[in-house]
Amino acid sequence: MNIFWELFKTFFLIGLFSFGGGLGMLPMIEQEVVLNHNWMTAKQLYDFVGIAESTPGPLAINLSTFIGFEQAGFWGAALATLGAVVPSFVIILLIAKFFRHFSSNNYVKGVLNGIRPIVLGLIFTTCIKVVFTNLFSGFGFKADLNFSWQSLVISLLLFIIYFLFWKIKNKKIQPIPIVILGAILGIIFHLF
Amino acid sequence: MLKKIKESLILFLLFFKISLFTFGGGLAMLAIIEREFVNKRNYLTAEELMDMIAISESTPGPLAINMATYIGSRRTGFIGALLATFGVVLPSFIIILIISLFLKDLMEYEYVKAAFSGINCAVGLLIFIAGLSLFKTLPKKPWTLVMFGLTLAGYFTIVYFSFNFSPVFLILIGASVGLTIEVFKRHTGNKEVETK
Repeated sequence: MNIFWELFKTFFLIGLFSFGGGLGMLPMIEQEVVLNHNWMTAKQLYDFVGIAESTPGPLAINLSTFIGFEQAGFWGAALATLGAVVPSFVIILLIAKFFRHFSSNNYVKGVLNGIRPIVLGLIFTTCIKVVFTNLFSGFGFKADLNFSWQSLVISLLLFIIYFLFWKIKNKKIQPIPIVILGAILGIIFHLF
Repeated sequence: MLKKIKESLILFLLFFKISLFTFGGGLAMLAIIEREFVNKRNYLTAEELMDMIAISESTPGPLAINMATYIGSRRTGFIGALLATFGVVLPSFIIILIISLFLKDLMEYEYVKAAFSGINCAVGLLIFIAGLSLFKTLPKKPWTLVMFGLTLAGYFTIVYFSFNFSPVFLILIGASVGLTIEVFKRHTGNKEVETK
């Protein structure tokens, strides 16, 4: 099977169904990239989400470029990214031209009200899976569980810091400081 | 025609610059877009920007891409949309390609591996935060909460037992349910006004 076409097709599908921001794509990306195509393991994917959150640009683009590159070099990256971008591009062009009142249409609102709770359920499930994978190196019925106390401590610390910052300074910390803090704590707790 | 191309190139450069310096996703970009396009250059009015945001949030895909495509098409049609979108995508594309070249080798170092195990924990927190923000935008009607609960329980089971069931189907089901409820409301002559 032609890898370039697979990459384009897969990311086209992912792009077409991503509602709820970059992280909303994560369940879909896991399904397609990890489960269906075995292009990477879930852990490798989460590793890369960490990087993608720290670099400029939309998460979706960062992920598609990376996964595409891993599979098939420059052209793989180009086709995966193209696939992710094309659905949005076409849909927005159509709306801009013909359906200006798209967002106030009641049926559209209805559909979105239906999609949002689903996406929310998907995101929280993924969250549980990621946290479990961090703590136990695996998740699922047949998973081999290996507890990591470091991950528990780091996760709790990060959460507490985020929470305190929010309550005291009334501001939400940006993703990058959280990721950097995570990296530092990771080094401290695993190597010292 | 030449003017269109020149304008489109300006859009390309603008969006390239914006994308290069925007960390943390579409919402951060919104502030910059308001400053550059509404206040500074008058490409859009504030109302048009609000419309655009509403559309971008109602369509699939990254907010950044949607915005670039929309603004580009409004200014100079298809060429504008193409170049603006290209501008948004290019910085990420280049940076990630460079990182990817070195990543495999970097992952050999103990320090890097340790850092990543911490980064993974950060990612878990970030997903949780994203979920919470999304939860706040959810209209708290009984049926949406039920759908959320069912999806959570259902998808959790699917993932736990490694069933191969794509989220796409769940999303399609959600879309159909939402549409059905809307149609149902119209047909039972429900005059309740939907406010956003």
